[in-house]
Amino acid sequence: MSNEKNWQRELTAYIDGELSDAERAEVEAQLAVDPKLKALEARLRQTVALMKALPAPAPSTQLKAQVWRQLEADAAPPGFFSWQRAVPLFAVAAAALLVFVVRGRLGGQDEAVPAFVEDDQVLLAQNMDVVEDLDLAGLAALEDLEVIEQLRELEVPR
Amino acid sequence: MDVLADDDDARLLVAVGRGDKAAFSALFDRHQAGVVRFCGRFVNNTARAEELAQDVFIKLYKSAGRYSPDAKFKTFLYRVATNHCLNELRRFDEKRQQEAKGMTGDEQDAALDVEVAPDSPELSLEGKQLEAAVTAAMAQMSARERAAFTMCRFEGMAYRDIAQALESTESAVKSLIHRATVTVMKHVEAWQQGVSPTRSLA
Repeated sequence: MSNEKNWQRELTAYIDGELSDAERAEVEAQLAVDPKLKALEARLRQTVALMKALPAPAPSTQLKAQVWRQLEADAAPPGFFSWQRAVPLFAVAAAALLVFVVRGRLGGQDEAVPAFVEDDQVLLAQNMDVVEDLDLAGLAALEDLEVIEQLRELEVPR
Repeated sequence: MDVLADDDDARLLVAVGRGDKAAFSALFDRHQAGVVRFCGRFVNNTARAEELAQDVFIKLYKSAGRYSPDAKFKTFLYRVATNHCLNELRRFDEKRQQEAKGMTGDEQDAALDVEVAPDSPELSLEGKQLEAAVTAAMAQMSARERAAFTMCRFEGMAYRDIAQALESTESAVKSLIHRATVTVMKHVEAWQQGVSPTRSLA
């Protein structure tokens, strides 16, 4: 039985054109005297032919663009702009702008800050020098520096 | 063995390693269909094929600088793809086992179902049934049988190259491909005769 199994294994390699000349001759000699093996050859050949007839799915046209996008995202240097990093920055900008507008409406005088301004927003606006510590804010890119500079131009009182 | 002399793809991959994006684009165009098909067949899930193929090409790009041209490009590519798909199957199996712990028997059976033949409107009914038979047969194969069978039958790779991609021997690959082909043969014949196949050899 094990001998028969070996012939079967050789038969598949024979059909695939993977045997040496000597091995091929051996299989062909066996095929000539073994009708069961000959029948199996026909079945295997039909199966192999059917596999070639199966259609290959066409990749979507977006696949290449997706690969490039992923590679570019992976290659982005630390500090590259991202929403995750930008959110704290926008919060700082919003707080500073709020204080600036409130003070503008009050004529630039040193009246008490209205109650609707949150304490932490005031604290943040009054400590912009600390926020400008880029490491603390998690900022490093040039774009971030420009935003900080624009905040400074708002002349938020400290 | 230096394959650069007669393997244009290997030369392109070396260029990719030096940062040549046009070379990567050319390699992608040449091999994307094969990698998508391979991944789909390997995990028996065409819906995940493109996602896996994307990962494979990203790994290829990132590893291009470490490529040493002692194996054909296609062998290198399919080694990357095989390892990635094997890892994916392991992760999937672990996740499935975790999820199955809290399921009823029927829910577990449903979760264990592999994809039936993909819904391809361009296939005739007979083509869909043949695809279903092949998909069912591949679900019964070991991961290495599936990899070897796919590289051989759908990518036309030689046994020697498949052995390199699987880091195995030609003799082992010969056995893998024979067993896998017989499995498919039985499923296809069963479909043609309207009966259920068995896993034993012919």
